[in-house]
Amino acid sequence: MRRPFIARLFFAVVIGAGLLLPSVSIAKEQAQEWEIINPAGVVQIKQEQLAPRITTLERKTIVLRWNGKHNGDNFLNRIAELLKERVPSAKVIKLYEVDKSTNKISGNLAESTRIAQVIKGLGADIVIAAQTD
Amino acid sequence: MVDQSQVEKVGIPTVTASSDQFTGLAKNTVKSLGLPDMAFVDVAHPMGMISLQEIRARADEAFPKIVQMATNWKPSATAVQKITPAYPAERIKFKGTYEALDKMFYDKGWSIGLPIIPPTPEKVAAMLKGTKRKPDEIVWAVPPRMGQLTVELVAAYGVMARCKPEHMPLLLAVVKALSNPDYDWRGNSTTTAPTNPVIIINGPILDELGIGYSTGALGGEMPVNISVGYFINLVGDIIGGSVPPEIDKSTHGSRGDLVAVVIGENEKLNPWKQSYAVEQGFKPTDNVLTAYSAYMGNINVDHTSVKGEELLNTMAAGLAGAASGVSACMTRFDRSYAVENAVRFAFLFLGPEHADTIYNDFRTKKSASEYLVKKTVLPLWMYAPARCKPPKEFGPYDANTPIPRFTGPEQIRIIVTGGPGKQSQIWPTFPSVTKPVSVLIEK
Repeated sequence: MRRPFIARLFFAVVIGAGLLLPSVSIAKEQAQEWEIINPAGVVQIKQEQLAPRITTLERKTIVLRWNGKHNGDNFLNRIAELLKERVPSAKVIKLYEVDKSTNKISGNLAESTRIAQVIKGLGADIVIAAQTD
Repeated sequence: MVDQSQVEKVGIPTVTASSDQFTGLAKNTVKSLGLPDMAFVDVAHPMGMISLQEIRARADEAFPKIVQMATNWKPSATAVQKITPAYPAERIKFKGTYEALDKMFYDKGWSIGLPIIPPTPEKVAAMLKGTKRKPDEIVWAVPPRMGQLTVELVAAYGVMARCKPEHMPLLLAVVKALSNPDYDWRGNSTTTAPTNPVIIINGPILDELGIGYSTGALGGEMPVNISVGYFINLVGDIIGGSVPPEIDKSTHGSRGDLVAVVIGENEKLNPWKQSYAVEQGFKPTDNVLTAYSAYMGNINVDHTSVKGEELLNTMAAGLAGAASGVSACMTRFDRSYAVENAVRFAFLFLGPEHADTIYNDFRTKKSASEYLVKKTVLPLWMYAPARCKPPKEFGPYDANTPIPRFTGPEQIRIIVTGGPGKQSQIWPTFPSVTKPVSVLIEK
């Protein structure tokens, strides 16, 4: 009785080991030394200056700029009302009413530069913009 | 924010009231344009699609902060930027399995969720043999991050996307087209819309490289189309930094923002004979790619129209409804983007069988497009508020008056692509795209 039991045990071990071999070989994926190129690259941006700040809105020309997104004009209309009420000496210009070609997100630098020049041409001391979404 | 940045640069201070879900993107944009900071006032999101009463209440709440920022704001001090040369790219050592390396790439933000081929110096050097351009040449500062994309890095991204050295001229042409200002990469890679790049390829290069243009061209088993599409979005997200949720604000995103749409024109089955590239003034022997940014495409499935007009009628229905809500009426291709001039062109990807049906009655693509201009209409009530204000010469109208989406045939562009079947696709452009950009693929 003892000999057949040992033989069965032996076969069971051999077959079991055979079944395990594939997973053992998968688990054996070797770690290796890699040299790779960092794809993130570098960032180089020419630093620009902000415009000089102002310290009061009194007697200033304030241009309100709308980029065409829904409700931005309604928001700025209310700001215009509040400015008229609280800073009556200021001149408020609704750019979106005096030059409708500016009611947009420019989409490119040339158009953006054009819009900036339109605002400059109005003698703006400051711009208040609405960026709604 | 690009617009307010330009205003600052001409010497006029600005204050921007911004929906608070988008201030992060706005600040990032400012920095990428070289300004240290700008004056923002956070306003509770949403600001759009709320009542007049609600938006006025938001203005009331924001007003004191706007005055404060206008008169008493100073930019935060910024650290001096350390200048690092763009070439050669940093070499990194890593010990681990491929799986661990792939995970490390994702964890560092150097991949976008699909596996990558490791860009080893050997593989990148092999890719560089596919071009005569110098590896240190900077071909694009990719917005919004403004990462410096060198030819060496084009090769590295090509490796990562499983491109081959012979694809290098195509990859460099893709970069040239996407970096053209008419494409507006910045706007398209940061918008809330599900935009994706569309690349249309013409010329002998289609068969030379095995670019898909027949059955299933936009699906799987198209290794070149897929690799080039994957390359584009690796570049956009990694070196360009357009990553959700802070910078890429796409509400749902799209699969085209993972692997961009790259398709060849089926020139052999084009009944009009002239390819799209030839229509744009190139020679039939030129290898050309055309790029633009598109909203997700929709489909025309017409199994029953026998006449060209019948098929174009169902096509017009799809065109009219494409990118609904944002599209304006009576758009003009020769005028720049504005709220009332939005989504100024679309491409039709005609299946060859559909193309044949149309060709039987329309012997030029232009005549087919002209017919579509007349038939692509929506009643006024189907346009979003403020998107449709017909000019005086249009005459009287009311809410039910059909009003055309387009005004000229150049706005409906036709290519023939795909294999057998009664299917075509409609791919409308994003509003800020000026025009499709066509460039030579120079070997």
